[in-house]
Amino acid sequence: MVRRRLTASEQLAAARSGDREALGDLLAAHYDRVFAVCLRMLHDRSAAEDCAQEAMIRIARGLSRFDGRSAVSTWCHRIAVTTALDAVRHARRRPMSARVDPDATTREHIDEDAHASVIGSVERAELRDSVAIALASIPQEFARAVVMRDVADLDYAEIAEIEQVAVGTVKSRISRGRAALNERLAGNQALPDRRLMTTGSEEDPE
Amino acid sequence: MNDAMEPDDENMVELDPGVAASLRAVGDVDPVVRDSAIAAALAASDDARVVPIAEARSRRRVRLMSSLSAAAAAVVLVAVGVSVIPSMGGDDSGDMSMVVVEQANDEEPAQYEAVADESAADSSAKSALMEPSATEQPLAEATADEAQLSSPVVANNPAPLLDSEAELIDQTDLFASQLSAGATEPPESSCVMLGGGPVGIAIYAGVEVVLFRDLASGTYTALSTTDCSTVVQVVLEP
Repeated sequence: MVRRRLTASEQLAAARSGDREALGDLLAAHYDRVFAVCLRMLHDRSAAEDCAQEAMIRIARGLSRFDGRSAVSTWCHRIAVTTALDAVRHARRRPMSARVDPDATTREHIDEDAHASVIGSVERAELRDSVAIALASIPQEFARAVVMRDVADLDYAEIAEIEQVAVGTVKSRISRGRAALNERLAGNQALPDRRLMTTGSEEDPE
Repeated sequence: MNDAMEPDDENMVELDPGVAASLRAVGDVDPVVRDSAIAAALAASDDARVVPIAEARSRRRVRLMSSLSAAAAAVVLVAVGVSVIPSMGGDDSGDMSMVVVEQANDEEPAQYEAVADESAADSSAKSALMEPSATEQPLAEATADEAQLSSPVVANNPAPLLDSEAELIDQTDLFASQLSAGATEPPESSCVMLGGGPVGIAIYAGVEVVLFRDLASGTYTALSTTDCSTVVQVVLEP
């Protein structure tokens, strides 16, 4: 029997009631953005994959406590953020084995993508790296704030709660972080042609 | 750099659309890694529904075995309405308390009173030492929450002991302020709540809990470290 495609709310309800297929679909629908949040927070693809898996587990285990006060995507992204921050803290406690070093990891990406360029994805790799390098080169409290706002779609209050700072500070960090990124990436030929883009066209998973 | 100067919303710098799109684009996600992560989450979800009961029981027994002291016996017996004088100890009292607790763990709260009565009857010599007023302590409070009986406080657990919601709120605020000051690290916990990460571990009503605070909604939550079930949630009035 062919299963009818569930709406987002039906999928959520089914997943919460123990429907494995619905839960799997829900997790799959949010994996890519969760991974993106982890990658932009951790600057390391392998660490981001671990982070995304841990976030998926937390989402699956915590879904019964999701109270619907926010979009489920926002809730998932928030879990990704807290999981990534946990990973950073954990890495700090193990300085010899897993310290997150943005410069080192971006260099690693450059090496990885140099190989990738051989098989024909030069432009995408350059684009990815230029953003990663720019993100790693600005103050990390600014970078985190931008990622939480512009990748995870968290609101100012949520970011303030996570960072334990005032909302005004969050706004300031986001604004300064965005300005720094815009400046560092201005004129980057690998970026999409901004003349063809509008601010309202950003994807929204909901 | 002073980052506390708040820009007005209309003065917020917008991310270049191309940069924004690139931030979200992370290249090709490895489908094997993605499928593996989802499979792990589904397995964990199954575990979350089934395992904690077994974990809880085994954990309770471990705690019971490690806390066969006169103090633990007194806590449990007083909780079921039986007064035990502080000097009561030794092997006999330990054995008796273990029987009582093991039964209490596996029975419904409504049956605790009967268990206590049987225990009291079996130990008639000791019950002769009871003070009448102690035996009249209300059972309802002690039996209202299974957790109170099933997880006696482990004496050497360094987590702070909390007995009331007011204490829970104060301790959660203290943990949060220590965290924000960088004096402590957040506890490692798989429990997740909206509104904020875990701020600390404590013992609330005999149950080891991880504490959360959601400032936006004024909600304080204690989840069991065993299975992340809600032990208590307090919402402050605005």
